[in-house]
Amino acid sequence: MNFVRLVVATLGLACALSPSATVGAQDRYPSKPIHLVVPFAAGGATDIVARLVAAKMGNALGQQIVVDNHGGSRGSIGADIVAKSLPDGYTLLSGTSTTHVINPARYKRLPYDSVRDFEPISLLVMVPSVLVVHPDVDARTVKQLIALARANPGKYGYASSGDGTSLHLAGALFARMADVDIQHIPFRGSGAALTELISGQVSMMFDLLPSVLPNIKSGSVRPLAVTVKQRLQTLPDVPTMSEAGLPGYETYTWNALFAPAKTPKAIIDRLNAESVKAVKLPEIRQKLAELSADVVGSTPEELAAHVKAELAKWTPVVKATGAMID
Amino acid sequence: MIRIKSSQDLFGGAMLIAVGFLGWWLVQDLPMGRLVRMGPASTPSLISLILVGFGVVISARGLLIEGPGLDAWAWRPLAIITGSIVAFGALLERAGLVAAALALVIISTLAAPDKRWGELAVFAVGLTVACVLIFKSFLGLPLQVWPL
Amino acid sequence: MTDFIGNLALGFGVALAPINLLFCLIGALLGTLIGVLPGIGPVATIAMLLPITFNLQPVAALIMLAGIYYGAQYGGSTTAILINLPGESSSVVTCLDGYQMARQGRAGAALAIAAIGSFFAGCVGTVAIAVLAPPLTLLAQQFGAAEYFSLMVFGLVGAVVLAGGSVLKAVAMIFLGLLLGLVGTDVNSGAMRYTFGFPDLADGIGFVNVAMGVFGVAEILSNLEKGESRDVMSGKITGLWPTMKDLKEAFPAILRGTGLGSLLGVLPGGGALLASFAAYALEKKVAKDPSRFGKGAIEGVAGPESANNAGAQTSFIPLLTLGIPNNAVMALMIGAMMIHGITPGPQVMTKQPDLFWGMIASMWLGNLMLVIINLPLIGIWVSLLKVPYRMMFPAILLFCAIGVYSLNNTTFDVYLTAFFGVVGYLFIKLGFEPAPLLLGFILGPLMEEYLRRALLLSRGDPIVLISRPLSLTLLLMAAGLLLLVIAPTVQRKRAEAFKEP
Repeated sequence: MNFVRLVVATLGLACALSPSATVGAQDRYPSKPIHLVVPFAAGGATDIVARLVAAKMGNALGQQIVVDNHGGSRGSIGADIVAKSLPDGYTLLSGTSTTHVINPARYKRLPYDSVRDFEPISLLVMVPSVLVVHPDVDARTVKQLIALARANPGKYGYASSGDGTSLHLAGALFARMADVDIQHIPFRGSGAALTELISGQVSMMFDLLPSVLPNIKSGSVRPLAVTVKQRLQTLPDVPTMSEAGLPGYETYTWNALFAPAKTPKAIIDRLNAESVKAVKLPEIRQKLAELSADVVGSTPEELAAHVKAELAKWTPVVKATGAMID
Repeated sequence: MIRIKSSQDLFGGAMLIAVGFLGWWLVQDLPMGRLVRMGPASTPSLISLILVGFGVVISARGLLIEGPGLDAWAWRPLAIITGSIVAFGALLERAGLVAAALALVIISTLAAPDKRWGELAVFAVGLTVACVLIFKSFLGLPLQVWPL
Repeated sequence: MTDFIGNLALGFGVALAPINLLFCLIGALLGTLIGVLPGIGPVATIAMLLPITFNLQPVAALIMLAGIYYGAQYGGSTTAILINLPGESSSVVTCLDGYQMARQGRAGAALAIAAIGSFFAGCVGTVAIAVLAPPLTLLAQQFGAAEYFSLMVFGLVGAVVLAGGSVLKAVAMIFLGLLLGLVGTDVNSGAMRYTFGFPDLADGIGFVNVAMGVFGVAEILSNLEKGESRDVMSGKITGLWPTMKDLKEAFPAILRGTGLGSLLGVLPGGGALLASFAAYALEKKVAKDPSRFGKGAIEGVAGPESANNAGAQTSFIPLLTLGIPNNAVMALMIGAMMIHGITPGPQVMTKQPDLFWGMIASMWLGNLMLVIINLPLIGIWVSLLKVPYRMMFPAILLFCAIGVYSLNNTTFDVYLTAFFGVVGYLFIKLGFEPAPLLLGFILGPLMEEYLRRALLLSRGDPIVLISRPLSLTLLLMAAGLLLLVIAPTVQRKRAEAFKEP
C-alpha cells in the first residue's frame, strides 16, 4: 500500500516511531527488496507477527521486506514455494508449528521436507494455549475435569479449530496423557468454536491465549490451566498443566523464520542478527506481549533442534488420532 | 419415435446427470461414516444422487414438454475471451504485469466486431499504465511489473 | 434513555475530533475504491494497513478500519449494478435487478436508491448496535449447530424465489452449488474432496472466482455473441435521479430490508449475506406483480442493499459484546484492538466508553460521508457506461484478472475464473440461472458442517433438529415458505394443462 501507507503514516506522525537512519549499503546483501512469504491468509496471528517483524527488519537492513500471503493447504503451499526458491536470501518463510511439524506428521505426501529443505534463521515467538471450560462444567481444576471425564466416558466434547489443527492435537494429547474418552468436535476456526463453548454447546477447549483472553476476563469461560512450563504474567492465578496434575504436558504454537536450504551462512547470520534485534526491541516486544506472544529470538541452531524435538513429540500423537492424510 | 421438444432441457438434464455421477464416483474412496460421525463421503454422495434425480426429471421434461431449444454457440468470442484470461495468467509471473495486461487487452479486443487498431494501441497502453498506477503504486499489491 | 443520549454525546465528541473525522474519511474513500475494484476486498486491504495503524491512536485506527469495511460494501454494489460484477458476496442479488435497471438506462436511479437505502440502513443499524446489542447477542447465543442448520435450510428455500424462470431448474442449481461448495478439505475429517490433485483447491473454490466467472465473464461472452458490441447499455440514459414513483416504491422495501438485515447480521458466518438474499425473496413475495423482478424492479435493489448494509453494521455486535469475530474482517479488527492493548469484549463498553461510543458515532458519520461521496459520483459512474463496449469489456476483464490474482497471489485463481466464465456461458445456453447456484455454493459447506456437528453433539440423534424449539420454528418456516413458492407454480401448471387441447 505504498501511497496509502505514506498518507496514513504521515498523518500518524505525531505518535510515530523515531525514524531510524538508513545505513549506507556497504554490504552487497540485501541489494533489492526481500520477500517474506506468510503461508496463511492475511490478518491471522502469523501474519500480524510477520508484518511487525518485517517492518523493523526492513528498516535495519535498508531494504523493504515485502510480505506475500500465499495461503492454502494449511500453509503447505506457501512453505513449498519457499522450499523451492533460490537460496539467495531474497525469499524467506514465516514458518509455524503447522508448516514444520504438524503437516509433515500428517500428510503422507508433502511436497517439502521441513528439515531438509529449509535453513533455520530464528525462532521468533511462542504462543501459549489455555485449557478452558464452560462455567457450568462441574470442574474447578484439571484433576476434577479428568475425574469427571473418566466417570462419563464419551459424554464430554472438546472444540477445536478443525481436524488436525494444533488445537485439535492439544486436545488429543490431553486425552492420551490423562487417559480419558472425550469427543473431538471440529469447527471452522477457533472463533466459531469459542462461540459454542460460551453458549455451552461444547464443554471444553484448548485455545490460544490471545483469542480466549477476553472471555476469560469477562468470566464467560473458566480457565483451568495454561499449557506452558511457567505461569503467565497475564493469568498469574492459573496453574500450569504440570502443577495441575498432568506433568510433562506442554503445547504451544510458534513462529519462526526460515530460508531455503543452502542459503549462505553469512546471509543467515545477518538475518538472524536483525530478526533477533527486531523482536527484542521494547516497542515490538510490547506489541507482541499484547498478542500474548512470548519473544524467544533463538539462534539458527536452537531453531533446528527445536523443529526436530517437536517432530519427535507430535508425530506419534498425530498417528494416534488417525488424522493421517494421503 | 420420441421427438425432442426442448433440447435446452434435454442437454441441461444430461449435464446434471453427468456431474451427479462424477460427483458420486469421485468420493467413493472416502468413508461414509455413520449418523453420529458422518464421513466425508456422506453429504457429497447424497447431493450427487439428488442431482442425478433432477437431471433425469429435467431431461425427461425436455422430451415431453415443449420448451426452448439450444442456440448456436458463439465459439469465437468464447475462445478469444477465455484465451485472453489464460494468457494473462501465463504471462503475469513470468513476464510481469505490463506484458500480461497488454496481452489480455489486445487479445480480448479481437472479439469485438468493431475494433479499431489505432484506438486499441492507445487504449491498451493507457489502461496498462493505469493498472500499474492503481494496483502497484497506489494499493501496493505485491505484483511484479516487469520481467525478472 | 438519558444515559443513551449522554453516551451518544460522548461518542460524537470523540468522532467529531478533526483527526478522527479525517481517518473516517480516508477509510470511507479507500473502502469505496477497493469495493469498486473487483476482487480486492476489505480483508486484504485492512491486513495491509494493520501495521501502519500501530502508530495511530486506537480510536482513529479503528474508525479508519471500520470505514474501509463499510465503504467496501458500498463500492461492491456499484460494480454489481453497472457491470453485473458482484464484488462482495452480499451484492450477488443486487446484480439481478440492478444490472437490468442499468441496461434500461436507469443506472443512476439504481445507484441512488442503493446509496439512500444503505444510508438509511446504516443509521438504523448504528442505533441498533447502541440500543439492542445485549438482547441481540443473547439471540445469537441461542443459535447452536441445529439452529444454524435449520436457518440455512430456510435460506435455501428462499433461494428458490430468486429464480426468474423454471423453479425446477433453480432447485437443481442450488444442489449443484451445494456440491461445488464441498470442494476442498473436509473440516471434520481433513479429507480432500474433489480437488483433482490441485493443492490450490485444498481450501475450496473461492467465492470471487465463481462470482466473477458466472456473472462477469459470462455476461461479457453473452453480450459479444449478440454481435452488436457498440452499445450494450441500450436505450439512452434517462435521468440520474430516482423519480418520486421510484422512491415511493422503494421506501417500504428499504424498511423491510433494514429490519431483516439488522437481525440476521448478528449471526456469525453468512449473516449479512443471508440477509440480502432473504430481503430479495421477501420483496418478490410481497410484490403485487412478482414477474417484474429480474427485469429491473427497484425494490429488488432497495431491499437487499439496505439489508446488507444493516447487516454489516450489526455484525459488529458480537465483536463488541463478546469479543468474538463473526467474519474475517471482524477478526482483523480484533487484531487491531489487541495490538493497541484493548481487549475486545463487554468490558470495552464500560472501561473505554470513549472508544466504544466514539466508534459507534463514527459509523454513523461514515455512512453519512459515504452518501456524500457517492451521490456526486453517480454521475461519473453513469457516464462511464457511455464508453464504447469494445473498450469497456477488456477493461473489466483486466481489473477482474488482477483482482482475482491478488486474492492469493496465485495464477491458479485466474485460470479458475476463466473456467467459471465458460461454465457461466454454458448455464446461459442451457437456461440455468447462476444466483441460486451461488447461494448453494456459499451455504453448502456451512450446512454440512452444522449438520454433522449437530449430530456429533447429539450423538447421532437427528431428532435434535426438531426437539429444539428455535430449530423447529425455523424448519416450519422453511416448509411454509416452500409451500408459498410452489403453490403458484402448481396452479399455473394446472392452468396451462387445462388450456392445452
